[in-house]
Amino acid sequence: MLKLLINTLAKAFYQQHAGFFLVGIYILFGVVEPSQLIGYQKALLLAGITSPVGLAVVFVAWLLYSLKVLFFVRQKLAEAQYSFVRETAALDVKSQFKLWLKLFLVMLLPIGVYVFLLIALSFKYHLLWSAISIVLVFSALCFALSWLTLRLVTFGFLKQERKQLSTGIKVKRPFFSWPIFYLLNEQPLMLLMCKGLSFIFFKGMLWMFADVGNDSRVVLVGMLASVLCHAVLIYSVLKFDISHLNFVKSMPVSLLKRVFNWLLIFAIVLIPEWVFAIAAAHTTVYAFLSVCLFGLASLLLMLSLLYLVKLDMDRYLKWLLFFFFIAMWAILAHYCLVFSVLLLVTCSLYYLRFFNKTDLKELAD
Amino acid sequence: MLSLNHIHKKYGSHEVLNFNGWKIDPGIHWLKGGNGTGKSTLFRIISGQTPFQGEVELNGVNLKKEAIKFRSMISFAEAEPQYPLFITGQELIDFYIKTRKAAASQATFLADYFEMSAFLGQKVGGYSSGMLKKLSLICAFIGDPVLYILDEPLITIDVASAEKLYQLMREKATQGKSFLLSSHQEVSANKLKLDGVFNIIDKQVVEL
Repeated sequence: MLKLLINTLAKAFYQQHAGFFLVGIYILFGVVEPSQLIGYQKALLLAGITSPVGLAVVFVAWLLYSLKVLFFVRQKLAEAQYSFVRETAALDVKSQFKLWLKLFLVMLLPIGVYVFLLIALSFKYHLLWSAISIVLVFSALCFALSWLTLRLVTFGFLKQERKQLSTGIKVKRPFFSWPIFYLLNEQPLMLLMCKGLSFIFFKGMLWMFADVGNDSRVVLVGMLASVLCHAVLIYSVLKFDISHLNFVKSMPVSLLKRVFNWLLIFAIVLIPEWVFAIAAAHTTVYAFLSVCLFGLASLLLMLSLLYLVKLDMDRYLKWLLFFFFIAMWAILAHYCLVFSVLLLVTCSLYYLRFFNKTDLKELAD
Repeated sequence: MLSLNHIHKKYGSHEVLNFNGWKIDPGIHWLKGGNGTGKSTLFRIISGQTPFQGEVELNGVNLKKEAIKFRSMISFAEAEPQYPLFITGQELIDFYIKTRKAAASQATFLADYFEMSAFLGQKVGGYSSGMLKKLSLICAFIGDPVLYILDEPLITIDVASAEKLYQLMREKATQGKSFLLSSHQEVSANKLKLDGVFNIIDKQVVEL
């Protein structure tokens, strides 16, 4: 059963969060020269264990990651294709707990690697309390995730109905806004975490290049990191479009209108990032235009890529990695505006050309 | 009226449909066939939901060449409709009214007719499967299409609603509208006058 859970839940988690891990890997390993990498890593780790504030930051980051894992698993378990997992409820509680613990150890592997490194450094620098607190917090997270999931699977039927809160205000939701309301109603945590991570990565990039001064390229690099955090969000919105809005395909809705609707959705989704960009940069109109177009073009590219790779996450990840390097080059070489316009036009044309020739629903089914 | 030529459809390496020609004249047509024979796939092809090799024409309008015009001439109700769970029935109907440029009074009549008016303010997620099916039928009858494509219209709806559906189809047929429907249940001649009965046998559409 563990093998099955790893091949389904854990694999799907790593695949769907590929963009997130990509940016994380870049920040941890890609921002310094290879010769300085060990020193940089050691400095990062020491900053985490030598002060209570550093430890608190590390633990909050772990908690956020664990919440992401927990909500991903809960969301998957609510889907019909994961109903087989309920068979685990037939096992005794101890076996169930062990099963979930092993699964979460696999899903928390990125944290687990750092747990070993942090403990080793703590002993080297005689920071015993840091080592103890790291072990305690990591163990608590693993046990809590396992216990909460076990309770959901075994005793989920005892859950009381949530009371619906209503303000009495009726908002008219036009068709184009349904994917936005899908995120707000059915994926609020994913949206929140996506925006939280986007903000952290954006600020992280500004902080990393703080010595550069008022260079609009820094804001664009921040935007690149932010848009990559939306990889799973776009995947999720497209899946919603395929499963719940597929009926529109047989209605007289033009493809141009569809592209326009997607751009409108992306523009609304990216409002916080544009606010970060305006607040962060003493931006010119040109720089703001570049940031706006780059954000829209990047999200439209993700949508087109999902059509191109037919929802294959592995290939999606490879394309995103390729996009990351090309976009970085375009930003550093001051070609971002041209790059964004070209991307926007190319992706729109791709969508217009291939939308009716690709049936993602038959693949999703 | 509706003609399909050189149709070839595969899912991966599995070939579902492969035939040279199929034509139907105006009227009510019933497509029979067991599970997995390709009925829903054929309906999805005609309604422009899935790519295929070949040509589909309705009154001389080619699906691939004039997609919007073609789609404005058909109305498709899926066997198992799926709508966003958080929208209300009324929001869905409003979208159909706007897209099909129909009168709101037509939707009001249909909602009353299928006894759904009281539930249209509720979210679709709270609907039973029968209510969801009736909502999809209301949506299908909004506007003024030439051809109604109804995939398993009788499943999950109660006997009274099925009678109402037959009545509505008879009325529309007298107005010159055509129907292409699939059903596992027998469609008796005293309820609907069928102009054609077809079956899919070995990837071909055969008239019975």
